[in-house]
Amino acid sequence: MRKVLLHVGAPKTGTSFVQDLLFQNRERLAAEGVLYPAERFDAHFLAALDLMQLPWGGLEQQAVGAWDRLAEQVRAWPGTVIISHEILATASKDNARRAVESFGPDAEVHVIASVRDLVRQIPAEWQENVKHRRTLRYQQFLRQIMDPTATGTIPTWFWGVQDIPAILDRWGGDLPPQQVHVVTVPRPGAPPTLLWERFASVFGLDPAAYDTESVQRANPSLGVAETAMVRRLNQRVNGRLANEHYREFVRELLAHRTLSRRPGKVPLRLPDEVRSWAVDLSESWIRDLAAREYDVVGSLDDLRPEPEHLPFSDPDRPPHRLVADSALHSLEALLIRTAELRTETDELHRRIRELEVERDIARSEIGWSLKARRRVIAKADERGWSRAVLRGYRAVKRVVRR
Amino acid sequence: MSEGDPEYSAAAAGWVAHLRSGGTTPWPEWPRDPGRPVVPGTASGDDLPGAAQLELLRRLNALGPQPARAGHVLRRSATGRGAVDLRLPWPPARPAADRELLRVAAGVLADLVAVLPDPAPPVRRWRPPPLRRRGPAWVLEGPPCSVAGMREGLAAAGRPTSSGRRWPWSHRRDPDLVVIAVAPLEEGLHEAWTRRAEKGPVGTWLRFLASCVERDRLPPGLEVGALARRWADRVGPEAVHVVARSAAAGAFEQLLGVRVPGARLAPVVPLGPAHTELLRRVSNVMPFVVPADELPRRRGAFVAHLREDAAEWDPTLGPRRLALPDEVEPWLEGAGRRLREELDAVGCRVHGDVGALLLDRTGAAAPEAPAGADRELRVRHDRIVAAAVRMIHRVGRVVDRVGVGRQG
Repeated sequence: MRKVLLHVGAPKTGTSFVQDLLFQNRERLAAEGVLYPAERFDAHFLAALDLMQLPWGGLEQQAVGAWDRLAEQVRAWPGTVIISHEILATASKDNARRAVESFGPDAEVHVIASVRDLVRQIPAEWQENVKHRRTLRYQQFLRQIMDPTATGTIPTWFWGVQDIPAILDRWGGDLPPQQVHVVTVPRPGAPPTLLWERFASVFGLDPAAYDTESVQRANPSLGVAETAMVRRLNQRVNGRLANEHYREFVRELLAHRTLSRRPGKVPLRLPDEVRSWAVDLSESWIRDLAAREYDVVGSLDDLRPEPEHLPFSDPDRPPHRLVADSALHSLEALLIRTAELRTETDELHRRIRELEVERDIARSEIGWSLKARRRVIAKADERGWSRAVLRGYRAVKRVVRR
Repeated sequence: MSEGDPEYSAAAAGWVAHLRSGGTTPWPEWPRDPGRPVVPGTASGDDLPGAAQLELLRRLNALGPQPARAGHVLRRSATGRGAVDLRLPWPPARPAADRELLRVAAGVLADLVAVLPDPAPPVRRWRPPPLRRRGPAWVLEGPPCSVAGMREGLAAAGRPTSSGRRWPWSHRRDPDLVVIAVAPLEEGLHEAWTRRAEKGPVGTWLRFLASCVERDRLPPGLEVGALARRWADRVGPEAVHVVARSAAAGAFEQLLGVRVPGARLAPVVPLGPAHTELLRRVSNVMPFVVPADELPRRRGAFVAHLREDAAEWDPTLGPRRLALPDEVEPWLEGAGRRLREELDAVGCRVHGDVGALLLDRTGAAAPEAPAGADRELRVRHDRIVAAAVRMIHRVGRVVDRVGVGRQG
């Protein structure tokens, strides 16, 4: 029986970790009859962009036709296939139908949604926005996502990827409930391998047979002061720093490799009133999901937020000392990186000078014929008839080269 | 009262049937009749088409029903970022924001453009080539709309051959005369933005301006100083003539001996902001539905229809030009001053008050330019939707006529 396991999100639920692990273990999986069809780590991301016709800052040009190619691989594989990307969560019902149909009539399609409690998801999504150049304040973000009439990109995207019952309506509406699997992210403090064990049980794999140590875990989160600092930095560099440079220096170097590793960061939480709203919403989701008789891997109780004992620290009014401290930390990381780049540049300049010397020597050896040829061409270009001959010669040369 | 309410299902299904049959009643005005039966064969509950799709169909119906379009619009998923599968609000209210309608409309248009026949080539009667060249060999350069307008005017006056087209093919000699047209920089920038959208992906108007300021460079057609310098080096400054629009008629009479009224040398009208913004959005979706090698041709066919539509101007589409943000003004004034200095340095002949034209911020040169309270920096969504609905109707008619069924 051909089986397709389609993991459709949500973001911030360990999806990158699972995708990395599957990508690195493609051969072992294939030996067990499981296909993870990806030649590059973001192959399913491109396929998802194509399925949903979602322009993505120019990346979509590489995405055109990617879903059809993926579906072709799926149809050609006799065993189980795993497809995973969290932006699939925003697919419309028609997109989802098209995706399922593309796997062929004899494929048994299973939809997997990994889910985490809203009280952790909401601050994580704002942080993700800040790491993608957004400058809106935390309170603005919270107001927008709590407003049921909001139509902006931020709230519609947030609910597109986080409204679990609606996502499963779209993806699982046409499937029997036992083919819809809800994998819950364990509560804080659970053993680090537990999430993988849950995924592995849905994938039908032996969790112990896969090395999870060599796979990068999800990007650790930033603290209150660190996020506030990056948001302010965005205000200064937006419009002046190209996307690829922002990605390299701000998101990767500062956010992921420097600020998230700072000791003693104060975690980002929800203010009390937002927290109680999120708790109520989570309860309604738990009731809704329980009634649907889906296959729950873990427990729907994991969607119930842990009690909070620490006070809320507002990233819109962060302690100045901590922001200054994270700014200094960033300056230090950037200085060290700048020095490394300077060393690389100096090395490249040295190499260029060497190559120039080599080129000059080569030129001097063939110099006389080159000069003569140039002189003839310059002369030919001066007169009408000889210029025409020269053009004809060049045209013939172009054709011959082709 | 909830969406699972039988009254909601009956009302929604009734409205869907009404729209499918060409109806135009808005959802908030749709009668809430508890006794109204669900129309057999129509959608209800979860199978209802999205609210944005339904509202878009209603607006299309208002321009005259197109039966082939209904199924297409109702089945089309929205493109790009935004709300997913919007439901009709209950109790009835405005079904969807304009930006959501636009996401659906861009997809529908991209599907239609994918099957749009190429525009018929202009009929050209064969004429024997002239035995002897009349007048001097000359080149016309400058902002595309100004150049195109002047070419049309001169062709109508019987000087079609003395266009820039002749130049690259002629290997006999350098041109005797180079005419460089000049437009006010603000107008030229806007024109460059719309022209770029016609050729391929481009950012919004504000993004486009920001990139010009960032690179501190004007688009190529507006770099009059560099153009003049290049030609002056080649043919000598005395053969280069920089012509302001107001002085064009006199200049052509003097230089080419041809009399053309100034009005007939006016620039061709570029696409307005609403059409340009629509084109930008449809261009983002087109790569997903049009094979890469057909993209330029398909875009060209769409642009031809946009131009036709833009020619029938409608006030609901807003101003013909977007305004310049205050923070860009100092940069543009600097660029204008620099151009004037470059022209002085080249020493070519200048017809009309080019310096004043370059710095013109009054909009006097273009009466349709936005002024005062009407100045808009970005295109309002309702205006792009208005353009989108007109274009779906226009392009849909053409597709229906040739009977291509792919999109339905």
